[in-house]
Amino acid sequence: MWRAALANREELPTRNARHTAHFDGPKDLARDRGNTRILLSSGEKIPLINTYERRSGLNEIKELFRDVMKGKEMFVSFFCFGPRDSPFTLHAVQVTDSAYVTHSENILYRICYDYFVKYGENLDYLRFLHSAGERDANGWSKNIDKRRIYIDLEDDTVYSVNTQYAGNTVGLKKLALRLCVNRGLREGWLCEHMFITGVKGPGDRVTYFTGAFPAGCGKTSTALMSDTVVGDDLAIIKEFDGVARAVNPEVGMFGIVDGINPRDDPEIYEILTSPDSEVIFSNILLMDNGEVWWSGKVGEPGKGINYAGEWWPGKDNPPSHPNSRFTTSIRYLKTLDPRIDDPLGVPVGGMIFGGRDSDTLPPVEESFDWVHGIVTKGAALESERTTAVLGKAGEREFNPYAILDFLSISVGKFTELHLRFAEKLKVKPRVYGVNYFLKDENGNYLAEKVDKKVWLKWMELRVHNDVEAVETPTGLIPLYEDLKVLFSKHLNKDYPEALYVKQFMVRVPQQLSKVERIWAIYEGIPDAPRELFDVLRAQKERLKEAGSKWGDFISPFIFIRR
Amino acid sequence: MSREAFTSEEYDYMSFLRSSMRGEMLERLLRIPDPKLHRWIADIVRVAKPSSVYVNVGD
Repeated sequence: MWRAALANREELPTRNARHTAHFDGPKDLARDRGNTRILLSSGEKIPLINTYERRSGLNEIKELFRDVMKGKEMFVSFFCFGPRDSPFTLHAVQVTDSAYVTHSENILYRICYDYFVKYGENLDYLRFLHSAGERDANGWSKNIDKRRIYIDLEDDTVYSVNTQYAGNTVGLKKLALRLCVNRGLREGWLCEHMFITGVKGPGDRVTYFTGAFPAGCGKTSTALMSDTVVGDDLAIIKEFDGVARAVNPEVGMFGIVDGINPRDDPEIYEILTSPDSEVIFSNILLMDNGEVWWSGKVGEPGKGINYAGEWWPGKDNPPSHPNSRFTTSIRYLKTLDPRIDDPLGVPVGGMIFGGRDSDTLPPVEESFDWVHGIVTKGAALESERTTAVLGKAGEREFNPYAILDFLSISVGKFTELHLRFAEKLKVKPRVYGVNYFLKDENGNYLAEKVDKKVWLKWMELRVHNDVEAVETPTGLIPLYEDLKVLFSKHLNKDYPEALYVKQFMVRVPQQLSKVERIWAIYEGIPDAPRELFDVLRAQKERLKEAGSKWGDFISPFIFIRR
Repeated sequence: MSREAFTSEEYDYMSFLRSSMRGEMLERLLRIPDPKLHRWIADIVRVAKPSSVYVNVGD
């Protein structure tokens, strides 16, 4: 399929025969929230979700598709969304006029044409229809003002047109996520925007974690820093014999390449620079000498073309876009978990929620229990905006479970689903919050990228109760002595007590503001479960009590000495 | 499950598919015993008018 993509110049060759470059164009570099709509009959409205009356949406889409593939080849592909022969797995048909989309999906998903031949009309499958629309001389989609991504829940079909950015077009990625969230609600399971990784503990045991982070918040780097990787982006989680088990529905990675460097991301850097890996780079700099360049790559950028056209040193746009991406097979990872294709997936020991937060949350914190965790870590997740979505970088935005952009149901119902899901479990996963982006009073980050490894190791020990934790008003944090040992053992780094205090200080005013913000949001969600407000109320009371005793900024040692 | 067609017209979609798709690709599609799928593909071809159809089986 890469030959077809090269032939019609959707992808350009690079110096490396197995690496290609794709450019989406300056107005098509991120997911288009405004034009992504859930189609619902009778024009039902759901808070925080962009909906549209179904019949109007379908009529509009059909008109946009009229003659849209003239002169082009149409590709029809058949995929599994999950391991083969698995009770987790869904199936999908992708129709598109983009060889780039098809090439991407051939890398990202298991081809399952044989299932369709075997089961035919008895197979229940998702449908995706895409057209890049008319392309201009640069190969960019021309009619961006008519870019539409419509999700028809009633027919399990997604339509996208006049766009090429993979987040808007690759059907089995975020488009499938929206369909599956809806299915999960109907059938009692979870479809999540989560990685799945294995963290090794004492005696070589492996504890599996799922993790949800908004784009650009350390999700892929956390996944790749773990000891084993099952998946880096999506997870289907179901209950079997009282245990929460997770599978990765994908077999590839579509990650942000901007910032990937050999020091912090050695494994993925090696894959992306290896001549043996098949990689599609998008929106990087393709230099005249055939090399690709992105911010973080060794060497200096030279003259070439990027997402906005010709580029040369000194030009006023960055050589590679902050949302530039790589698409490659997950099977290149040396740390790939042997259970990637296990039809029953892996048992979930812990669930992690992380966002970009400069002033409130500690680097790692365990919730008191599942309900407290789902509410305070998942349902309350906020993140300072990045460039993966069209909009203004830096503003704090509400992004519950890191899935708000991909919800096709009310966040109230999604929260209720999580609360009810765990009632079936004999042992519930521990729930954690992480925050890699806490800053000091001078605006400097309080942690380094590599410190994620320590937080993961601590969580792994906690799942098995191998270390104690300190109870604070908002959750359970590590003991300083345990972190000191972990930093020394895993990163060969000192861990000063002063840093621990700064990182794990309870910031009462900021935490209370957060509770107020989240409360106000859920007051506007008619089907938010009552338990959510109970948990927030109790959190607020604990914070106020602590604040009245020990002031606005409370050292973690106060709680240790109690 | 019930699937919505891409057009509401009544027409002989199988004849249309046979005239629109070349031999091997048509065979790959028809090897799948799913009339609703065939109808959907035929509808899309009818509306969007691609010059050719490639049924991707990973080759």
